Amino acid sequence: MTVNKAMSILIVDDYSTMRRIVRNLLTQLGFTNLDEAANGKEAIEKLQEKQIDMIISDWNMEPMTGFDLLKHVRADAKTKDMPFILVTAESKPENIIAAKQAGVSNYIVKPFSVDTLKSKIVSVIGAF
Amino acid sequence: MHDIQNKVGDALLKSLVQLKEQKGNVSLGDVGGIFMQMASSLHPTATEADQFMHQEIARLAQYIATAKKEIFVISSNDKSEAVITDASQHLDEVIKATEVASHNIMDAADAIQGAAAGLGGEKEKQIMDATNRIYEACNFQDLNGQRINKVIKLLNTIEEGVDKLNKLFNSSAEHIEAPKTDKPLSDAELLNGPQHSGLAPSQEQVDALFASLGEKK
Repeated sequence: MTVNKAMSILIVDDYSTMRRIVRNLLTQLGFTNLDEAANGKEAIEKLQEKQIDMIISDWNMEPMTGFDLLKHVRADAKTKDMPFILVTAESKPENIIAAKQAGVSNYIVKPFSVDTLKSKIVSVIGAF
Repeated sequence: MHDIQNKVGDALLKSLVQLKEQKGNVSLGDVGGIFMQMASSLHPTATEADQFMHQEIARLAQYIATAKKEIFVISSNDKSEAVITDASQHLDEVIKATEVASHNIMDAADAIQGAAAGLGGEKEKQIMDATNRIYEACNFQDLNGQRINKVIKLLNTIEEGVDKLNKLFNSSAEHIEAPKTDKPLSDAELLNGPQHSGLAPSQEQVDALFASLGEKK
């Protein structure tokens, strides 16, 4: 199946620099339909406003964490199968286990490289 | 230990003999009274230990208050001499300053990529690779920000703990919350932030654990 690089990707992180880094790297990989949110709550508002095809989210955010956002997305019939990648500094085994049990598609620890981001996206949506 | 037991036994016997000589009969209450007297005499340092702990905690509380004033009071170069006394505010300024610096660095990287676009060949690839490494390196601002927030929370926790202990010794009526019992990790307890660079797992180790947990349901 050919990956549609026009797919809509939502970047969620409370640090503007991190959102910019992910946006730059996704743009270089050929994805251009990108949007941003500063926390889980804003991400949910975006999900209600427009079509989102994939979420790349941080974990540690306020008022709503990426972990809570993941659980919300998986609990909604419309979004339960949406590709969801966590990009986070949370790297303890209990975090990874909890995220997997909550249904995360893949897990990237910070700091990360563009190659890592690409390989995790490929593992979730296929080669491009 | 055997020596102490012998001494205690001797002291008890002497007290009982003296009491019988004085009163004629020794009641159970008399025996209990002797035991109470001996117990307090065997642990003469209990009150001293409490006093010592009280003094040390009060000293620690004072030390934290003084350290905050000494370390975090600064004056700017301006003649108005802005003063920052709140540790959290000071560290927040560090986070904001590194955010601005990171954006400036990435602005420059964007400009370099823009200038290199269209060069073609190996030169363009080298420049794009190098600027990508700049973007990757800018991860530092996020990680440092999280570490600083962790330090702020730790400072606040230590200060709260010392304050509680200090109040405990100053007010016998003060209610202290019982420590939490063992229970499954809550969502909040999963928020640990970046680990020390020597302890943090590699992406490969994370991938191995993730893969071992099976397919997503």
